[in-house]
Amino acid sequence: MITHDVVIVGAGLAGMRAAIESAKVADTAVFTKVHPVRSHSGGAQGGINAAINPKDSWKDHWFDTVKGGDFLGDQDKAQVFTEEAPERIYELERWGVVFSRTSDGSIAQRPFGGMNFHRCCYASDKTGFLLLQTLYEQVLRHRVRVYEEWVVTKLIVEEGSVRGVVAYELTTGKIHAIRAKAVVLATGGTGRMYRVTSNAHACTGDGRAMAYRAGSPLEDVEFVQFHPTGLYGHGILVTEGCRGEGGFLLNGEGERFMMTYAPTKIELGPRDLVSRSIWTEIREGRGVRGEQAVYLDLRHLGKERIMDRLPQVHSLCRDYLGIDCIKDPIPIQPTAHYFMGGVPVDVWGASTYLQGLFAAGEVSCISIHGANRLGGNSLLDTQVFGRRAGIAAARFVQGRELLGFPNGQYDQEVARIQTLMERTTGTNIGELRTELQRTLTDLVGVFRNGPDLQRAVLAIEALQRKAQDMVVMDKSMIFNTDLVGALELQNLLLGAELIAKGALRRTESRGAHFRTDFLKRDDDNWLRHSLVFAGSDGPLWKDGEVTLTEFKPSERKY
Amino acid sequence: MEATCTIQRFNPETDERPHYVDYRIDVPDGTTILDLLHAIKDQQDGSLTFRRSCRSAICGSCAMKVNGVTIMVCKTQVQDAYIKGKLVIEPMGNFTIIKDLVVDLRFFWDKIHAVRPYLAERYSADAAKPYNRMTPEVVDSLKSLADCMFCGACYSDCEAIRVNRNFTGPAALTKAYRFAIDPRDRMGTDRAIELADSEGDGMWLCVICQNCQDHCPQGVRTIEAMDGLKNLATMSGQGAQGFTAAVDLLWKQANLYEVGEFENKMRTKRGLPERTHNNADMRRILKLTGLVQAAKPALLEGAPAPTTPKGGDS
Repeated sequence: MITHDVVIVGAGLAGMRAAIESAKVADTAVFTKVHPVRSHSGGAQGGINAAINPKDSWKDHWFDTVKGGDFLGDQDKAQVFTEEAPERIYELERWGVVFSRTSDGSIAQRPFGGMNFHRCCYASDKTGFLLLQTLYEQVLRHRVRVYEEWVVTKLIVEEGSVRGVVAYELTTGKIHAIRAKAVVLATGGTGRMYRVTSNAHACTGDGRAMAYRAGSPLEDVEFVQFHPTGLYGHGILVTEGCRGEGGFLLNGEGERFMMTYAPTKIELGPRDLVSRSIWTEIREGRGVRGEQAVYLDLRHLGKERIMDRLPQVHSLCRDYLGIDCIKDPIPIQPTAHYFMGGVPVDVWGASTYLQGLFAAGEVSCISIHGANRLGGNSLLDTQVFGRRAGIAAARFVQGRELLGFPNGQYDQEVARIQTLMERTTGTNIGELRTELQRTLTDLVGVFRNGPDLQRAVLAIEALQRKAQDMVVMDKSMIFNTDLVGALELQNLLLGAELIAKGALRRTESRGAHFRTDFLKRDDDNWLRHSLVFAGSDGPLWKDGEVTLTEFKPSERKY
Repeated sequence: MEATCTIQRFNPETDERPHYVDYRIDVPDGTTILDLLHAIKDQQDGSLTFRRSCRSAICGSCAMKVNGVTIMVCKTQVQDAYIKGKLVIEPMGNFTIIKDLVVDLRFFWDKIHAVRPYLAERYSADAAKPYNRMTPEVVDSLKSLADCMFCGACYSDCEAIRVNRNFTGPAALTKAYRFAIDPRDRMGTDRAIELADSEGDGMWLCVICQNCQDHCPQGVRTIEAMDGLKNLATMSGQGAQGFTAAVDLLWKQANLYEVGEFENKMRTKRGLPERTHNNADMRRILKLTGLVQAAKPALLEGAPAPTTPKGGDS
């Protein structure tokens, strides 16, 4: 049986950062369903925040992060996050990241939403991509063992401690049991439950679903970030860096409508506020030509600046919409982008619920992003807490015995997959996925309300019943992407159920969670984390304390 | 519109060899080729197998041959590729097929890994200088080179790899060059020297067909990078063996081989000018073009005055 002390699931920026650290001292292996450089961290464009300018201060970054999260983030953890940020940037630079520079050779920084300083370090508009390249280079350099195109399908836990995982090896078609003393989940987000999303096809929330099924709760799942500027009709990310560089948002009447909603920060308000403002314009009939879109206008920035700072945006507009953003405004719409909630862990990425379980990056909930993450903070999250999870997992396995592996659980997982493979008639996977995505985008979006959420819950539960007899059409085991799609859909359905139920339960508006039937933030009743556990009759909900240290919750104004 | 598309299929568990299958499918405006593949998989045949992830042209998963040219299918509109009622989708060339449109990339990754594709840091961290300063101009020179997303398109359409798999190939050489010219890299030019010296003539086999650069979905200047590496190696005295030897011969005898009396007789008969071994002109040319400095600088230092080699007619 394949055995490693530390098994890392996922090879995006968080997983690779953890691996680099863990592999220095412990037997470490990374399992990833796509090759590391295909990970969706590479989709991040705009930048990574850190107070590296002598005139800036990590304490301001700390406050901006807490305020951006509408005071739901744990302040002690956000402090660690922002205090450690500069060292992680320096490290990336020393590893070879090609950051954009100012004329004196310093790392250039651009303004980003919800922040009071030009704090976002960037590499034109390919920051995530270039970070991902560099992290992969370091993985090679440190000779980290990577199992590429291995789909982890189950987390094995017995008597409250992690024993390993089950993984489907695509190129051979084999289903392996893998033993481990510690498992670090770094599987990213789950945007594929939405019809309009910036996320890659691979973002199906596998890690959070596996952790939940294995007995870990999930925290703050109802908080879903909609990025204000998705390419219209595609949902593909158009970076906040466009607005950081000075781009305008215009409604169908040509007005810079953000002046009304965020008089001080205007286009550079936090993402939740900007997305709500865009939807308000659209709902009140001021969209572009009656479509569900407004314009992102870069024309006044000029060709040189656009081609230097935003070349990827320029190509995306050309290839997907057939427009030249130097001459034409870009039609955009809010797009499901980031999940603030996830597997609850401490500042060392360790679960307090399952021994030997760690998590880092988007799959985790530490919580630093609270109810709304600021742009430029997610790349930083992967570096600060990926490293910490790697250190902690390696430390955890030192001198610890390998516990027994429950073969029965492996057999059950093989049986689950066999059942899927053997069924010849039933529901079409594509139809179910499309229906789920429509439900989430229509009913669990930027604006939410009780009746819509109620309908969403019923619809998702109906889809879950239908999914019990879905059919995998591909009957061969080698590189069966149809089977992978079926397993991913089960993860998406579970995640969607919890998000819709969590959103229904939280009767207030905070950060990215906005209820039109409960317009105000309600600190008396809801200044708390939500925790959901798998019960025998469905999800069980509990509340968790929010740690307040330095900053008293106040009304958010931008 | 409704389109017919032809896809090369291969299931290793049941098929002896790849075959082509036609699909008729509705294509609304703005449909990408990746959308089309998904529609076929969802609606007609779930076993159709291909790699994809980001669908925004940044992850490098979905390079395939469309009408004979390797492209990213996620960023290509069906309407642009549907020519004379034909759209043929095949896996990348120069690779072994695993299943349908999925190829085995190990050959490619081995090439990448072999060039030590990571920065050999010149500086370590200290409090006074936590990171390296770098001018925007240097950043500009690295930016396009660092854009390679390892999609494999340049290996798929490489004419050199088609005939000789020893060729290190465009993506790996570009990566090597990206580090060789990075002022933060300790190895620098040594990278070029090592590659020049490596067995199998790894970096000299490019036939300069330019497919790699012309087909690169990221617009990476691979030809410039490969030329750059060759220049670095040559200027360090590690030019291609054939090149160095040729300059040496030209310097010594103005010809690549010894020209005999008989040959010159034949030339005269055919109305061709005689070949001479008078190398004063040739040496001037070799100096003026910098070729001798690049290939054999030792020849210049204290080189004897031109003499008439034996067998010469002058």
